[in-house]
Amino acid sequence: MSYNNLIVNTIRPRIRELKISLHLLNRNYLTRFALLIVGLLVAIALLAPLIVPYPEQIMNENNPEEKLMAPSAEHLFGTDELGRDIFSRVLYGTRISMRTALLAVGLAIIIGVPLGAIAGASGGIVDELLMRFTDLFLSFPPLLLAITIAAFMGPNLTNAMIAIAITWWPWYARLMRGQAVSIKERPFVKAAEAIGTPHIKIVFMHIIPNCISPIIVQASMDIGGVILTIASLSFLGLGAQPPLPEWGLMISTSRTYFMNAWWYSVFPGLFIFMTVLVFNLLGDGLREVLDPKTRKL
Amino acid sequence: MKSFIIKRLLFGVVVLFFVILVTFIITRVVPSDPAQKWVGARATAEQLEQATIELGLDKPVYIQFGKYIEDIFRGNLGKSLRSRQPVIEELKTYLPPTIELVIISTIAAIFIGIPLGVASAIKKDKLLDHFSRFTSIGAVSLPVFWVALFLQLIFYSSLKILPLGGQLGIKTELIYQVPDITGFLIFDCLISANWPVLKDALLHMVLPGITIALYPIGLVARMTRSALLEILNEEYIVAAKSYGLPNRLVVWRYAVKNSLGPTITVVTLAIGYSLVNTFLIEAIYSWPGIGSYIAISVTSLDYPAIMGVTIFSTIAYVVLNLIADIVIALDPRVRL
Amino acid sequence: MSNYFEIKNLKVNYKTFEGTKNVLDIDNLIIKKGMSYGLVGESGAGKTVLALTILKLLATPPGEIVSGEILLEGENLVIMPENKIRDIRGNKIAMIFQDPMSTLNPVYTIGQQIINVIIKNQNVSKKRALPIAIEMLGKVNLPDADNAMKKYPHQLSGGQRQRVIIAMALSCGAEFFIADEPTRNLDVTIQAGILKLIKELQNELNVTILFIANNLGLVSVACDEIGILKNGKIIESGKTRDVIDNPIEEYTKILLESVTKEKIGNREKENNNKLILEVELLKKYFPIKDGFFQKTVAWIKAVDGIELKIRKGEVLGIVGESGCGKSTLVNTILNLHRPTSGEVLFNGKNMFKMSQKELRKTRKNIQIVFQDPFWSLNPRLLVKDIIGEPLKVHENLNYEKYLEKVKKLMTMVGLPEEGVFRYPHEFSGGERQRIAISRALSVKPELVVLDEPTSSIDVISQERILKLLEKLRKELELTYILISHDLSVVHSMSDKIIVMYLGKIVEIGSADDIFVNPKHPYTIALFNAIPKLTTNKIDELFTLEGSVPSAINLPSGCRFQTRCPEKFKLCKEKSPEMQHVDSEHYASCHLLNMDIVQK
Repeated sequence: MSYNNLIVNTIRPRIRELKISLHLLNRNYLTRFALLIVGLLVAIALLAPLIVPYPEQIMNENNPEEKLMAPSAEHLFGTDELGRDIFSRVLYGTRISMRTALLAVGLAIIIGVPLGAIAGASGGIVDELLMRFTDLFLSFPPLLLAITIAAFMGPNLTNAMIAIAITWWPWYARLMRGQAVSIKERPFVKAAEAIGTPHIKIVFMHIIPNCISPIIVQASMDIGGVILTIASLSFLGLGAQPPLPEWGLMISTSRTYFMNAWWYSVFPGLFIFMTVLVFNLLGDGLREVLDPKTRKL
Repeated sequence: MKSFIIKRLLFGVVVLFFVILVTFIITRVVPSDPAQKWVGARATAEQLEQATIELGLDKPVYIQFGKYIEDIFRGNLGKSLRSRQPVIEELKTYLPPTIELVIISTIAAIFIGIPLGVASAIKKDKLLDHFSRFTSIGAVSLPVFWVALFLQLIFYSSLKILPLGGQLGIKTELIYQVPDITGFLIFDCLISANWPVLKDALLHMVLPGITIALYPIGLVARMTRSALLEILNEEYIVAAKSYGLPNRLVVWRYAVKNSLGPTITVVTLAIGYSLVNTFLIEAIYSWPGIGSYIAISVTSLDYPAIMGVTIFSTIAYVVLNLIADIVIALDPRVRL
Repeated sequence: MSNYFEIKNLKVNYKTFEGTKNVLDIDNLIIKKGMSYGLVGESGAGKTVLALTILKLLATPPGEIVSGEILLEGENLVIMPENKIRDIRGNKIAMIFQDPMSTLNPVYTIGQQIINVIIKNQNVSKKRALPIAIEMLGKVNLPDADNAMKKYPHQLSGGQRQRVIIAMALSCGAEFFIADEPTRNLDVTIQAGILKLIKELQNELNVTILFIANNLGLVSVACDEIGILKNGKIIESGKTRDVIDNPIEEYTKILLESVTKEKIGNREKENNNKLILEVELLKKYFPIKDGFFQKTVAWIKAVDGIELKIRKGEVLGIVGESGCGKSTLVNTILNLHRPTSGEVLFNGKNMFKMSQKELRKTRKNIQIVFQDPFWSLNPRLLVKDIIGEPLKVHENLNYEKYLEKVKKLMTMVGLPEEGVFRYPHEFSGGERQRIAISRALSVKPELVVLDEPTSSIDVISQERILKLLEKLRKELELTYILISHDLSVVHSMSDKIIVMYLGKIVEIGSADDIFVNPKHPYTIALFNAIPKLTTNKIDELFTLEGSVPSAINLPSGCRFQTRCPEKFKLCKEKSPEMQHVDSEHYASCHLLNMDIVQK
């Protein structure tokens, strides 16, 4: 058998599995809808500088003669107090929110997953200590620790992102540990032990690959939650700072004008809502497909 | 069982210590100029020096930490930079309105969220389930601060049927004697039988109440649904049905009771979310609570105030969780 | 008179992702009043679906009743509205479930649950229900009913729980019982008691029983008529004796053979090969920790002084009920546990005193095949990586050689070599077990532990797997330790058998000695508790009183004395020594020491 064939043979079954998963995802029309919108949002985020109608108005430009104009064909979402096109800013905001959320969740996963895997796989005193340490972080009310950290580290978007990762990683550690503990008891891990496979290899070959699905589900749910949190921190003045077109910040600024300019707060809010909603829906859908307990073939 | 409670209590103490340690690190060790933060940017050199001594910044870190703990136990949370009042006193006045809101959201979570989740689980994949799932997933996806603004736009600006904010209208405050016995306005109105003020207070409560209750309702409904679905799939539920027990009994007495543990946990989590959500909406509704207090403190970087709220809310949350855990421990399955 | 219970042309479909699948297709099934009907089939044949369909408890979707009638005293249950069927459930038809633990609600006491059922079905007040509940528990021979009422399900043993379930079914006042594999999760000595109870109730109360089981032996003693269910269809039915004595269908014959296995392969009697494994006074205690400081308050004596020897090429069978310590023994031999004391010598070397490097080399020589091939293969790996895992650890091969070897292993266990590029879930249970076997054999081990290798796969594959194992043993000169609760499997494969009870060996000897001439009362009880096709009456079954004591508070003297039918004074006082019976046959019972008995 040629080497080429070998690669094809190895990859083909994996593609087949992926196809089944995609098919299952597609079956639920809500999930399909969510997947579509998420794709659209990702495209907007990637292409934002190219597709917004008024790229020059995203940041600082001042057009006093066009300020606080109601939505029109020219300015779909109206303009703000500096006369900037809200539609352009909201679209660009997608890029900011998505990037920050992905980084925050990624950071939380990078901290949480290995800690959880170590705790679950080793058990005993290591497990006890690591998990109690994790519990300590979960003893803070949600968001509060992020607020405090962001406040003391100095209000800006990067610090908000770090603050969010610090408050979020314990959830991944917990999830990963629970998975690791249950998978450790599966006979295939016992079989690997009996074979003499080294421990570290067992963790990477048997335990972690079998924990990936719930982590993916959790992450897709969390991206929604994290976007909400970033907007909340920015709304409080602890996240993005002007002139960044961040959604929460825009709503915060709009408060001064919102009685006369309803569009100013409504559109960024709708975008937050829609983004968070589709990620939550996607998470629900993914769970149904990837969780063996609810997976229906 | 007993040893579980003792363990849990001891862990509570450890948590408190850790909370204090973390806040200490965030406020005193990480910033390069803690004294500056403590007295504010506009302080004189003299004030700065005094703060350095007061906080013990000239001493080694462990002595600073000892002092920090001592201060907290004495209720000395420093003075607000804005008002120059002791933070602890301010907390006392701002607390009751916030607690009112949190209680409302908790009641909503329990009496709307749980039934919604139960109904959804029972009627899985029926119209009611789709409706309830979509409502609850929508509720947890909404930015609360935006909801607050949106509701004001509709009910105040457009329809003009509800007040914009505050706990009472100016007219009411001028005409009537506003009771102040416990600080909890609605409760005070009730015990002093002050109906006109109560009516106005309730009217002012509607929008903040709805706003704060949305997230907990959605969260609790989602969790209850999934916890219940898991239990409804258990064999003992099928068995109970096979003995001819009526559906109502099976669902409410058998299934719901068994899903109580996870439900209590999620209600506590929901209370935590409500507490923090007050930070986001109270300022919008000019609600004179902790939320407004911290929102202003954050904007003006009033560190002693931020610190005070953090420590206080976390302690409250830790105690709440402790109670929830002990309640769950009464579950015979945990009692094993 | 029309038939009491009848099923006509029942078709049930399951809607799945791949399309609609027919799971039940029964032309005709008739049960007369007061009779018991046994339905035999393997898992997946549609037995439980049938039980749930009768009571209309089948989850729809995914299930769907396409057509047909289920008639109870002439009334069609299929078209009955939900509120009327609720009166049938319990009142007329009651169900006895497979797993007594998951059938009882863990947060209510036994008393609360049974009283709820009585109040609903007999329309009495709570006060009146209490004595009825106690009476019912008495009827199912549950000792100390008053006390049991106050207990939670997890505080009872498996057998007791199943009696409670039967009591619940009885309290419904139903006349038709559906028993869905009621003894599946019970030990054999307890199983016999439950079977007897069901039969007694049938005779005393004249109830009608639909008995569902996966084992022909069980059904043959308990039922008047039987039907064989395969892929949702009843392929053969009739009077029990007729079907067993003159089976028509090939499948029925295979089922019959599975109960009466013949000896596979004949072995040279004298085996003077070298000793491969010696276990000397092995003990494994697990600490029980309690209290705030997690002090060790007691020990679970899972393995308590085991001695045995295995020669190269032998097959050693280990028999015992759940909790007897056989898994712990094997795990300790595999070095997955550290022993509390004692030695395990592999090829003469003490395994617990080896260096890490030596130990890894030794491990390679001892492999295990697990019971459930569904969980013993990592679902995320391709078969080539599963079979090849030991090769990667122990041998340094380049990719092409590695693949070649994996394919060879694959064909060795009778699977197509293209299969290595597939995931385990694409194979059937029997095929997966072959994959597990080839993984174990990939590093050429000397000793293979077979942990219930056939108990989770279908009967047809069972036979083939056993033959494959025997063939491989000869070809590769393997030595096996075979653990099984199925005595026929052990008998058909083993040279030597040990019987374990509560962490100790009670009897050891050659397979024939143990089967033909068992000496220990426990061994005798164990063998006679299993219904055989030749068992005519259920009374011939042996039952043991009580349940297995916990390994924490061991009984004084002989460990078996609390349940032993032959117990006398000394048994309580002194633990018996191993007594020599003949050649290699030993048993630990005072009865064998005639001097003591005569005194």
